[in-house]
Amino acid sequence: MATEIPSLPHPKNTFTIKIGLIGDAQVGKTSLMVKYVENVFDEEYTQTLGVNCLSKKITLGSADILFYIMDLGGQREFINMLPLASEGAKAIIFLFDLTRPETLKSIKEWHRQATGFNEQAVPLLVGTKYDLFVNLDPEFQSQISKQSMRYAQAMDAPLIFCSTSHSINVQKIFKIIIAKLYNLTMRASEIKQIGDPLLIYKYLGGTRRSASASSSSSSTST
Amino acid sequence: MLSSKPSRSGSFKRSRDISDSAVVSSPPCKKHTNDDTQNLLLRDQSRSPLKQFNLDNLTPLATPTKAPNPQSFTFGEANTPRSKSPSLENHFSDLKLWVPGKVSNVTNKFKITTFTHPIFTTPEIVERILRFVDAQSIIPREKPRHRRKPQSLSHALVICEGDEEKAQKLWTESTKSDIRNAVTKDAALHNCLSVNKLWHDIALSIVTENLYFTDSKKVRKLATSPSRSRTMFSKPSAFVLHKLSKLTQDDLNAVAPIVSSERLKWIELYICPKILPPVPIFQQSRNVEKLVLPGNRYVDDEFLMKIAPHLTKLKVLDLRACDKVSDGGVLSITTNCPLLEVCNLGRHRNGEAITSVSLIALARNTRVDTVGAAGCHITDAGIWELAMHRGPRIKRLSLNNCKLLTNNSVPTLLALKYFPQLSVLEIRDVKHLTNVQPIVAYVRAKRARGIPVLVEGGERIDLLMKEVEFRMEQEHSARVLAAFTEWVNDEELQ
Repeated sequence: MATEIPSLPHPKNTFTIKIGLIGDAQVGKTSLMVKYVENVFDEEYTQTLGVNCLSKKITLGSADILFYIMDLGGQREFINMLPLASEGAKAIIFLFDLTRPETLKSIKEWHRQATGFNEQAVPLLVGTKYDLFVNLDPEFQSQISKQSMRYAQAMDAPLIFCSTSHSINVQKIFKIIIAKLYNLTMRASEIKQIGDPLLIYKYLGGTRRSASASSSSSSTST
Repeated sequence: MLSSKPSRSGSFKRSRDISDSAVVSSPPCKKHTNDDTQNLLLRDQSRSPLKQFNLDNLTPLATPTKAPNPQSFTFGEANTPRSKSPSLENHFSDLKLWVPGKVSNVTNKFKITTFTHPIFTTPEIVERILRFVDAQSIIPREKPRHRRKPQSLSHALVICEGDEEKAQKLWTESTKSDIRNAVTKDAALHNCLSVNKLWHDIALSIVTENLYFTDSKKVRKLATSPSRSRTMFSKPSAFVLHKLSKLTQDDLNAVAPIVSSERLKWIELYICPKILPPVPIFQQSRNVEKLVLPGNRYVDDEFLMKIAPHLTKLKVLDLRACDKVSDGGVLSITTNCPLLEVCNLGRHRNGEAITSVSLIALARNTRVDTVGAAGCHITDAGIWELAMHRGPRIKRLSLNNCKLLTNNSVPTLLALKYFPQLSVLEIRDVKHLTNVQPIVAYVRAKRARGIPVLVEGGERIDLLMKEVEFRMEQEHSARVLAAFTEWVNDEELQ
């Protein structure tokens, strides 16, 4: 008779984490998302019309993490879809192209707009195309690096330079999000040397902790 | 039979007067010895005043007993004999429906159909309609409750998760006396009895399909209903008496022949402490599936042994607060009722009469999935036996006040996954129960799969469970955070 008894699986929670990707056109938002979710990099440019989204599930022992990534088209006409990408997001990744300083400048406006819809989300400042950037004039590199560090400081956002095509710091971005959201100790060493793919996160993006921690409790269980 | 039907109409006026009674007996005319002679008699009587009508074109079945517009039916010369002999009026009240004699029969019929839609004259359709009417009426029964009342204000606070306002409300509500038992029955169908002959016949047969009473006078009325009207009764499938403390055993015995049949499935005497359902009912009704006798002082082992052999189809047995029932009675039930699914033996007094013997018998011989053993002297061994035989099927367990139970009963069995389908567990005031961790773990596991489980633990156990749950919640969070930290710091993990 004991064989009839179906055993109950241990309850497992799924933590759904919505992430918004925001930044100027052609900085590599969709590429980053596709790279992270599907581990594929495509050189070809496809304009995002409106909002793209992909999800990635990370299965851990006692819980699952479901990243629900919303990627907003960078053209100005899609600004009215900003709420879609930012509202309810646990983290918003602001992306700029390391080889185009004007895209970094636009971050100011993107940040202002996005925080208008969502003050609680953890912001991250991500510079893309590091593989191209690293070949540029060292003076330019230094200028951009310092500029972005100032931005990161002002936004209180972790700063990451990444390369989607060369898989530099892509995974780190999402690990930093989790570490910041749940106030976890992350041991990966920071990279602060100008010219290197910067990774500065330890003392940034933590002020919203209390707010984000409370919102994380609304995780859905399946 | 059709020809005799119009003659019955004579009784309609009278039957309408008592139409609010549970069962309308249609009293026949004064003098009759048996049905045959009576029919003849009525036929004669109906012919005598208006000889130009023969019986067949008397009132059609669907004619209203009361004309909507009596003015249009004023009689000429037909009026005079009525006023002269008022005794006839009762029997020929339907004469009112006829337009004066000058008009031919053909127009009569035409006139009648103009104010009655044909669907109300088609027996099959009328029956459908009346069944819908009947579907609205409710058989009085205990209101199913979602939760038991809190034991105290502090318990209410535990239930409401610390919301003081809600707790206060819950507690004040629970202290108020229950008036909810006044389940009044919608008498819609009884009004249908007095519409016309067709409706009367159909309504009566529907009304008598389920007999339920909240008033002992009406039971008496049914008991004294003349045998002639009894032929029109359906054989009821349910017989329910709700809180009839004044009803005597003799009254009930008189009703037995009307009630008992192979169709009878449900017998209920809800808190009727001083009457026993007559044994002949059980002898003649072999398809009883539900026997509900809560709060009965006379139900004892002897009675159960007498009726058990006839209850081979029994599925639901409710003997709450039947203090005189002991293991012996339950044994006779279990040996005779292999289909039994629900068995409630809960009680406040005389708990020592029910022991694990009953539980083991239920477990081994029946298909029980719901067991009420509140206040009984059952032991862990009994619960284990139940788990071994019926474990995978058990859905509800009520073990309130079972003072012999320990942590080795339900908690251990739940930890060993013996009751995978348990959805309601009542363990109020089980004083030796202290290990609630397996119960909480079970509830959490079920909840995670979207299956609600209700555990009524009373103040002490509810509080214990809340504490354990909080601790488990914390442990779980710690585990999750540890897993996250590991992932965050692992370069290999994607």
